[in-house]
Amino acid sequence: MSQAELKSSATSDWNAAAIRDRFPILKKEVHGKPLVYLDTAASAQRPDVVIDAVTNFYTNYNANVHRGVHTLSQEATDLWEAARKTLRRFIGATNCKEIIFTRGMTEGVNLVAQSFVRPRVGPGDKIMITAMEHHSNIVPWQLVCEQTGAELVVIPVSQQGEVELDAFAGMLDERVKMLAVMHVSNALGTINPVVEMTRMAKSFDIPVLIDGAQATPHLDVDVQAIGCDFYCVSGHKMYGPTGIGVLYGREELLEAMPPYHGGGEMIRTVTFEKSTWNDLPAKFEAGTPNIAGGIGLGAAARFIEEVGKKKIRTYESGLLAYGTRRLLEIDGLRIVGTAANKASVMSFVVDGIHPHDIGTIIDHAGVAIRTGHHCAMPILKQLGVAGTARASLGMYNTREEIDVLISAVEKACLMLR
Amino acid sequence: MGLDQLYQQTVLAHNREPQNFYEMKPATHTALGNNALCGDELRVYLEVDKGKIISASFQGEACAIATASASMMTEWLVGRTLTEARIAAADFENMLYSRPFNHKLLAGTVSLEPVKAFPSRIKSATLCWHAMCAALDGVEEVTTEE
Ligand SMILES: Cc1ncc(COP(=O)(O)O)c(C=O)c1O
Repeated sequence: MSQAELKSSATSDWNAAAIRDRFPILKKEVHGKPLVYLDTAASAQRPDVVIDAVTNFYTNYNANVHRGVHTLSQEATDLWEAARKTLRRFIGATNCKEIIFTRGMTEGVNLVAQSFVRPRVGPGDKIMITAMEHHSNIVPWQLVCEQTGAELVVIPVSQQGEVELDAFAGMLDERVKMLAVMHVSNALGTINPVVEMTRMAKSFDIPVLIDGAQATPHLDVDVQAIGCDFYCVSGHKMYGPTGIGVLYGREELLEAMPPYHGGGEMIRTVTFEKSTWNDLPAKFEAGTPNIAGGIGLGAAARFIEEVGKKKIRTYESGLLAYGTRRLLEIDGLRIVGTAANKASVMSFVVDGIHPHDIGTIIDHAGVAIRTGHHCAMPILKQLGVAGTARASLGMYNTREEIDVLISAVEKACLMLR
Repeated sequence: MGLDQLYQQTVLAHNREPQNFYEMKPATHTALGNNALCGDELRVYLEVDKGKIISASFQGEACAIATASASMMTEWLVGRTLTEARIAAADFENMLYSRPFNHKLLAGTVSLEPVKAFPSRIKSATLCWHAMCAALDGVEEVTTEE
């Protein structure tokens, strides 16, 4: 057994059955087999408290927020703002003005790209990302580059799937106007050294945005400890609803930025000649938001805190080590993404067998994984694969489920070889 | 329909040892079929003379369904007129989208009919047929994603 495996089996205070009980969908059967959900990196399942928070809102408090003098509207507003407070604490922001509700991680990046970076860059300037980014942390920057003449530069990543820090150091200069990097890779599982990278960028006064979509469900994230300027959170990856997320931004930066979307809620006064903007965070929350989603996300964050971020990390690390070891027992199987520091993700390919066939065959054993390029085409291309099969873990997974995965993949190999 | 029908012996055999799996040089017509979402990519080659397909081949990396389909299709195409080939391409889609189709015409490819019960795999099966039509139309690349 590896260190991580030993450590996790030594944590006697982890009650896997009790955790699983909190996720109603895990009682479901697929093709007559118990569901083995190993696709948390695509979207996590929701615990009862999140489902209840959403239902409770619609059943007992549904009204628009910040709009009415009536009781329901006030109650809805209180719940919505309480969720904001929870998210502030959850990621360690200084105050609630720094917590902008978005539709998800994707909207957060686009907001920063258009409202913060676009007005500040021109020809000769550079926007820097890594070679392993998700498409949502590539395309918004390409749009800004097209709009402004700035250049997108890409920090190389090794064949193990680790950022090449020496190369990164050599690429830093005053013309870099933004560093955007993912905290945890959804395709490879790599945990990037975001603290160190932020520190290096800061020696050139470069603003830093972190894509935290895959980090908040698995790690203890503290934006102030990282020292970044922006941090994007995705609700549905961290056991919350879809269509909701959070953008953390440092207050003085958000204060200076123009609005992203125009509409109701984000204004103070409107005339046909000129409108004035509301204060933070409302300035960036045009229109009626996903109120139930935000409240559900607050419940998800509280749930993670209750289970314990450190305990989750220890348990999942052990599971990841176990799963990796078991997968490697399969003849002809190769893990894609072998960084020293990883979370949740086991991406793999099997000689002579296409990931898509593995996905279909093991679905019939009740096992849900994702196959394909995982919205990270550039890094997979560099690593020489068009796609992978990806099993990704959440707090509810168990060793027994890994065993089901292994025998299902073995069966697929038998069938197709 | 179950997994065993989807991956029935005929399909598995075509995947293990695909027919006409080579790069045709020179080909009168060729096009790339690409489904990046699934990671299927294959190129179809045709040799056409006087309105008839003399030979057909393919190459690429794709899942078992896409590979078997291309193997069956290239066997099927030899000796067919271009009109027949296009009609069959449309009928093959009819088969997978559960619409009426001509069994006799598609003989040799109907072992892929069970794919219709696996919506996420239909585009794998039709990829080669789209590439074949694109080759005839002089289009360099097609994708079956939408
Ligand atoms: C690393 C990473 N970044 C960003 C996203 C996009 O997040 P969202 O769905 O919240 O826009 C995802 C999810 O697909 C992801 O895995």
